[in-house]
Amino acid sequence: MKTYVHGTDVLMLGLLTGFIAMQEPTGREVMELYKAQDRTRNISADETMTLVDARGRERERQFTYVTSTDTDDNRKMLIRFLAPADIAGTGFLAIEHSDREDDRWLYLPALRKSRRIAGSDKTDDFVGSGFTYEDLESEKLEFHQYTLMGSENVDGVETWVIDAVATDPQRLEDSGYSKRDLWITKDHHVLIRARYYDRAGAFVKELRATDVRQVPGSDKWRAYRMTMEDMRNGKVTILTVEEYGVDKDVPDSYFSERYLKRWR
Amino acid sequence: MRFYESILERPKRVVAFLLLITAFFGWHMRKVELNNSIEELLPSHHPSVLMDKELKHVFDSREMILIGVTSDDGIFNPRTLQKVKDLTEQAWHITVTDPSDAYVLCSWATVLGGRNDRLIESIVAGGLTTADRGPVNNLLIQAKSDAEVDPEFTEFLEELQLKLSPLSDVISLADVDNITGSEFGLTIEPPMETVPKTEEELSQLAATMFDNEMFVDLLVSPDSTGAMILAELSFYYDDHLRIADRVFDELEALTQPYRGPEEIQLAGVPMVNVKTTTYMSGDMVRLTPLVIVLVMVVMFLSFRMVKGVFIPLAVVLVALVWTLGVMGLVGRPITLIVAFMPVMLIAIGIADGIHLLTEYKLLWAKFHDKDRAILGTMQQLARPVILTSLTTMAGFGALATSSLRSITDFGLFTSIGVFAAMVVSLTFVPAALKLMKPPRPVRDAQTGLRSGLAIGLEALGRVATQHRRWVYAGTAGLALLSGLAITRIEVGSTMVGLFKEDSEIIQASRMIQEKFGGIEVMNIVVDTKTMDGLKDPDILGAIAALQDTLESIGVVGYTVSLADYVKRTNLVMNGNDPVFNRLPRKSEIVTEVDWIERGGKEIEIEREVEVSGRDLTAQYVLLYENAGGDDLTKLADFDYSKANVVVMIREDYTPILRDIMQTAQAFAAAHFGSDIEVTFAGCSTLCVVADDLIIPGQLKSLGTAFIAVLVLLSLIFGSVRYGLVGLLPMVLTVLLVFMLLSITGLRLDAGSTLVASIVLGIGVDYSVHFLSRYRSLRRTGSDFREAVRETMDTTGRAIVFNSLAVAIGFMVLLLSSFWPVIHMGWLVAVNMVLSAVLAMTLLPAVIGSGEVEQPVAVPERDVERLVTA
Repeated sequence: MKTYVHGTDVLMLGLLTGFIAMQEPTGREVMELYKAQDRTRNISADETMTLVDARGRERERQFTYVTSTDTDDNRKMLIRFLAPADIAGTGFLAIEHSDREDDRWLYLPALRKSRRIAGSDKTDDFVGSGFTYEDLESEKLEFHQYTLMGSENVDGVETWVIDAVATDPQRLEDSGYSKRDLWITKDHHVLIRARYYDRAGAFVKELRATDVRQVPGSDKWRAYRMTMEDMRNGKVTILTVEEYGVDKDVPDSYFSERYLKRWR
Repeated sequence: MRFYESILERPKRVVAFLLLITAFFGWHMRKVELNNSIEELLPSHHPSVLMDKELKHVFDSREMILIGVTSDDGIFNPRTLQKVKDLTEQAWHITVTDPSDAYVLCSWATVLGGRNDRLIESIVAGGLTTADRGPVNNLLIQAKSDAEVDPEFTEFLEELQLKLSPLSDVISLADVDNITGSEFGLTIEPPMETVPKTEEELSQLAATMFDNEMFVDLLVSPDSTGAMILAELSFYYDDHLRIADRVFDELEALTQPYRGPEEIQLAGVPMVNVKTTTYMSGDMVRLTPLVIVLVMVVMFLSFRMVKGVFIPLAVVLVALVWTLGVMGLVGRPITLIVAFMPVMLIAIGIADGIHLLTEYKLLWAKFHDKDRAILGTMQQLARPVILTSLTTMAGFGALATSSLRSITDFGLFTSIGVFAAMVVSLTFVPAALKLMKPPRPVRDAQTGLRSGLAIGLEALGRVATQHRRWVYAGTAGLALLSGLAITRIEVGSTMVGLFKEDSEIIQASRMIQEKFGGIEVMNIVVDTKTMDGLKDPDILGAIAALQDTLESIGVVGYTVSLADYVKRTNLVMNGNDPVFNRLPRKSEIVTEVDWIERGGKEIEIEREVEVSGRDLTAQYVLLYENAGGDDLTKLADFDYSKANVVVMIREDYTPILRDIMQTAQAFAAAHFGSDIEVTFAGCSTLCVVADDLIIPGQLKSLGTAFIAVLVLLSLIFGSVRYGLVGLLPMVLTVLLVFMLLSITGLRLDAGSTLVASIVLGIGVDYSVHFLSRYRSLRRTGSDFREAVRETMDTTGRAIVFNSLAVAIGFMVLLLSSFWPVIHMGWLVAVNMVLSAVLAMTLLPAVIGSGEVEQPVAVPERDVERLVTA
């Protein structure tokens, strides 16, 4: 009897495992894979931001950024502009909190003053680019509902297509989006495409991440080029990464208002 | 004659063939559109037109509809403010879809083979509403990326998207970027988010509005009795006039329930143009049938038979269809000026039919044989019909040399219409006469009148030939007076001035011009030609100074530029200290906080440092962009090399606008470096440019017309002298046109400028008819006196009827809704009669002077053909 039961258990387990292996993962499971690969203790990069208008004219800005993520998945980020000369030194500091609104400061060297940016303004464009403050936030799985919509081959790469909707009422109210569609690669779990739908349900922006490579000296995969296209006005913002540094030692003092103001 | 014989052999086929051609042109007629934009008046390659297009693209600027909400006891009360807020929000939600759009969308769904079925179903469900803006946008993006999708479907979707969100921005005190400083740095939010209830809140709001210089005269009137809502179209109105018209109607309907005690009025350049189109269509619908009825009555009175009404009418209507068909084929729109081409064509084209029928009636009474009568008619009249058509075509065709596109079109298409009328007269008329019953002999009811007229004309001819000196003296006097009067003619036009005083659009424009900064917009584009050139404090300072200079002109009510935003940011970033209500200087002193180690302790110190004003400006702009402000795209281009200085003006009379342009030009020459280019654009600039083209254009067209007519007359009569004699009455008539303009204080504008050409084109026929008849009479043996008497009795009478018919036709224009058209109507009517009188006094006098008395040898058979009327 016991053996029999045991045998059944083994049989059932075997069947179940086979069934699961054949099944697609859930949306949440895909996002957990993505999150695991995205997560680093800290990451830094030197980037070029190219703004292109609908007529193809370009404006370039160079900046360096560094982020650090704590064990509660709260991220700190410091961005410092290096060029063009008239805005060099302009800095942006963001500190995420689990229990309250995130803190954001912008430092303007010509004023020698840093300014706090209200949390309710996260739909504003970051320094006039195609990215809003919301787009710069780290993905918070617990506040969203993810639905797997299917698989799609994007430029030769197999991806899962995820429909992401905020479930947290506060987040939903502050967000500029009614939903996002995310394309996560099946091989390295990198986000390579995202589509953003405004509150009226209109498809307003598309992010395309290309040049996906493994960061030298780490097991992390990153896109070295990101393009955000605004479907409403044809404006494009291109971020090109010169170099990523993963899990280098970054002092915590970097992420302070005082350090933000330290620029000569 | 072979030609007419062959027509008479197969009249049915000729009529059928003509009907086929007419059907062809009729089919293309449907493509003709109405368009009144000022751009249609101008040549497309003109620098100002190009600049205006550029401006629209670079600064993404589109026309605004101004909605003024006024209340005599002030707007800062909860009721009025609530209305402003509600209207601002509801304006966002207007849609102008057609009931058929949903069906069209569904019919596309089947064509697409189910690819977008679900999306289309969800869009159509519950009708097309604002909720469908997103889905339609998504469908459009899908369609654009799908190569298999029919481009027509994409076009349909693009238009549907416009109809669902026809406004790209709605600005008022309830929804405008107000830059303020706060603990969060720069805050950009509307001055009024919720309607204030208490006295304190209300006065707080008033203070906020008057604190920001950019709001006064634009969103709030200086005396607080008016609030403005600006609705920006999401498309260029001249591309989608019909949609623009609907938007206006929707906005007007939207404001209806909110009226009283507040007054709500709509104005703005697109509105003036849309109103012009509406009124113009109204005029065409009203006036064209009226002209037709009037002409029918005149013809029935002269012929006393249905045929007499039907045939000439058919000629002009067919000619009209052909002309409109050609316009559709070549894709030219009907503009304010071209709109009156049909009326003109009916008034002119009817003459051929009248002449042909008169002759046919006479010959039928003589021969009682249809074929003989028709052939005789054509033999007598084919040549004069061709000749007078050619001279009229030359008169109107000369207008094609004008640089104003609308006038070029008017000249060309009227010429084409005259040509069409000629072709139809020479083919359809003989065929139709063959197919119809012969006329019944009718007693001439007008014998009494005619003999009275004959006596008068005979007397006129006698006086003219016997008192030549008086005629010459009078002519010289008139010419001198005209010359003097011409120097006093004012050139200038106004768009709003087109309408009658009591019209709604005039009332609305007046109100907005009185209370606010004006409705007329001028754009001054300052191009530094360097990336970020505008961030230079010197350049920004010069722009601000330019604005100050312009604002010191009384009619300039409001100006705004990038400088105002930088100035405002400087003020609020320095704690609203009025000292900082200025632009950053070349270098500025700021206080910085630093931490230094002292005695093993870190202490905070403050010190003053010098920073560059240029960096400060660049960072203010970054701060503004970062805070979600998006007004700057209208005032500076993408790389901050070009600035758009918006100037609002309370007047739209072109000489005033030209003064403002010249002031700005002089200022720019003195204060901007030579490497900086300053150009003008916007509606008011285009109006000035159009005006500047009128005088030279008009002179050129007139000169060309005179030369063309002289050449034609000389060829017709085989003598330059005769050509000059024939031209003389026309020269005097044209001088009189200008004199009348001057005496009545009318301005020379696009409408009145046409009168001279119209009078010349039609009036020259009188010379042709008169001289032809006179010469043929002389050749057949009549002496001078006898020939003049006989010419006056036959041709003179026809000229009187013809000029009266044209004058009556043009009198219909007096019923128009537009001043220029009304003026044109009576000017042409008066001058046609004057032209007829001049032809019949000057011609006998001059030919009697002996200078051209001797007939020139012309072959006999030609003379016979030259006999007219």
